[in-house]
Amino acid sequence: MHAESASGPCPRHEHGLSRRLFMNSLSIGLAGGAGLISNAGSAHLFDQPGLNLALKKRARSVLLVWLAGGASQFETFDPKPGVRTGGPFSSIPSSIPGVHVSELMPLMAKRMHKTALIRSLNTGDSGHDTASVLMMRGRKDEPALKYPDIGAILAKELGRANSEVPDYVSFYSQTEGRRFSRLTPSFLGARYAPMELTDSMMPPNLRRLEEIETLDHHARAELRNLMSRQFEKGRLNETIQSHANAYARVHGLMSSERLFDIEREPTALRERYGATLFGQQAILSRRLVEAGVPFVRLGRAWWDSHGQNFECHQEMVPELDRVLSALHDDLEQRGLLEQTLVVVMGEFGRTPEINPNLGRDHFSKAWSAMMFGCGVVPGAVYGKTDALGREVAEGEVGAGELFATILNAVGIPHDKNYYVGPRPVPLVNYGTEPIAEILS
Amino acid sequence: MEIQLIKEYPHEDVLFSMAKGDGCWFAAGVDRSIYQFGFGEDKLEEIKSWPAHASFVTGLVRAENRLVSVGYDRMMRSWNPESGDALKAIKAHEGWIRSLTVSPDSRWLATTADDMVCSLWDAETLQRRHQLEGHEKQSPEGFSTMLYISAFSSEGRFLATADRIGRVVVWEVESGRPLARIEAPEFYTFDRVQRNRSIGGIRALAFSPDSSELAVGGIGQVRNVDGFDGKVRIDRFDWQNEVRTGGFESDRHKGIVEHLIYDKDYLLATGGSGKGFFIVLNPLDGKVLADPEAPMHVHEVALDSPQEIVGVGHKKIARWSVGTASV
Repeated sequence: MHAESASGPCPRHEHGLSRRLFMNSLSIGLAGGAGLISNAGSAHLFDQPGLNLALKKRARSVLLVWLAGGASQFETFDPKPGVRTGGPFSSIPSSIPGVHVSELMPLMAKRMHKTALIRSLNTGDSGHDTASVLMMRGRKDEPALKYPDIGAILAKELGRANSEVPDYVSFYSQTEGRRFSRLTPSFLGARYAPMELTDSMMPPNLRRLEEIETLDHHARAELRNLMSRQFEKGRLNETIQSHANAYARVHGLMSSERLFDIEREPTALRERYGATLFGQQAILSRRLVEAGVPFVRLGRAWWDSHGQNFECHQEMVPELDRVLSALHDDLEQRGLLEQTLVVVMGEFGRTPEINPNLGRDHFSKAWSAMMFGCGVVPGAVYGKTDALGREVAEGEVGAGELFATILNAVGIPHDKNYYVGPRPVPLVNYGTEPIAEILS
Repeated sequence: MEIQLIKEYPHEDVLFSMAKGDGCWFAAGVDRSIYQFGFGEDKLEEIKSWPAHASFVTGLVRAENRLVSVGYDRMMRSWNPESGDALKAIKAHEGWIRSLTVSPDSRWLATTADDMVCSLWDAETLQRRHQLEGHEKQSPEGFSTMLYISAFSSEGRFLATADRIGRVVVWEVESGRPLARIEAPEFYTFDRVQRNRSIGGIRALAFSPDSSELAVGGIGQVRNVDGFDGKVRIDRFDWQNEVRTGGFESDRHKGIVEHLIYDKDYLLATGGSGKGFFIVLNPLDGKVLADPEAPMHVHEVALDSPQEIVGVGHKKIARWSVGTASV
């Protein structure tokens, strides 16, 4: 395993606790969704909510690169050249000795020593919609309880109470599979629902109406604030505070039009990401992370290569390679990797068997995901599949373990509970453990 | 015209290409080996097989006394067809080699590859004579594209090449000079809205026996680019005037054309999706003479005699009889 400071684990000792922070965090911990409080499941002092909030300060954002439709592990992170199931691509050495990736990923091959790779996912669901939900929520819903997705949890855990940027942004421009993930904050409340950007790179109705002058716009806000403060006197409670926060966030959003404007990025940087929609949205995702958005899902659809799998990946993987490498370097150069975790996954992988249309079908028994940035061991490779890629040979993990790993990587104890009424709801199912080997 | 299945033979490999030997056949595909076989009474008689390439084998021809193969490993290799001994290996392209074609007089070999170059080779020496560059290196959307196929005219004077985004270029073989360019974008689907990727391309070419016409095969616009959810498409061009003279589109979704044979009496197309198909057109009026199903997605066929077709495809080899009584 390699260790490099730029993308290495965030040092815990850098996050000292202050009394003020401790007190603030306790109060913020009580201000979640309606009827909702939270605590850590462990009795350890440092797992208590307030202290946990300080610890999680080490991670500011998670950027999920969502490969919708299911990219092939054979043609990306777990190549099997030369075997019947392996497909036509060769593999190339990566910067981790002895670890190869598909020849379609030469740029990421040079950066693999800065990533953590999981090659042993067995998630047990090969339907687009159900598997998308599973991977986003880390488990199946209960009949009477819908779990919040990873974005909503991270928006709640990593978001700042007074933030003027959105807490959860999801890009998904293609129509196929857009609704499969059914993104939801569930019992966390609408405060943590995603801002979904589909048809545009910018949220709709963000711009101030032309007939309202800037001065007038500010004057209206000040008047509303004045009236609100008057109303709040002697009435301070969560509902009123939430109402005021919502106005502040909308006003903040309206002033963040520049945030969504990638024309402000240097041409050379935009070229590094590539001129495709995915590349441009990746730049925007970086801008959002830089501005403090806790969770961004960058969707790239549609990888569902039932026909012509190899040509599909020949077309799409070089774009993925370019975008991931540009994103990595961009985050690293800005010092953002130390506080940002990037996760690359879809809802499943693709079958070892090649079908009559030279395609690969849905496959959840043995596939891969990749991470880099904050909280994971650079150069770690966890698990392996058998020679033909049909089964997990070592280190089998499921959606829950991956979910727990992401939480832990950004400083959130996976055994933390939320409460819906009196009922404790753990962030992952009881008994689910993170992949300790890749956590820094 | 009738095409009737004589027999289908299961095979462990997905086979892309085939060549006729002396009293035998050769075939190759996904598992990187070349198989030599004959047809027994009830089953395939495998004579021998040998590992040939480091990736899929996509082209196999008999050129005089040698067998020549190409593959996605970017290599062109020649073999002693009797022994299977390797004779020569050349790194022929900078991208996957998609096709290998031999001229009717066996003087020339043509290879097309994803470096978007067609190379013309002296079939005897395997020396490169021309590098033909007339196809875009990227799709209009900025993605990689592919140079799928080439075909010689019957007298070997012209060569046509065709790519994924629907461009066809006709070249003069001796000089390597481009003579005509045809745009047929109907063969390429880029789904920007639903899936943000593409499928299709021109996969088959054939000159008419008098070389005046060029037939182009593939798939029409695809509704769902996850697979071959589209109609078979065959266009015919007066290539010298760069004018489309006719065409065919199946009335239902059948898949993609992988191979065309243009005879004076028929234009035969074969290919598939989940299932395989034949479509035989009357070259005079374009009407369908026959359209039987095939037992597998067919990648290549060859005439064993005027009355028999041999074909390879998805995990099968098959033989069909050709009856011309109704032509």
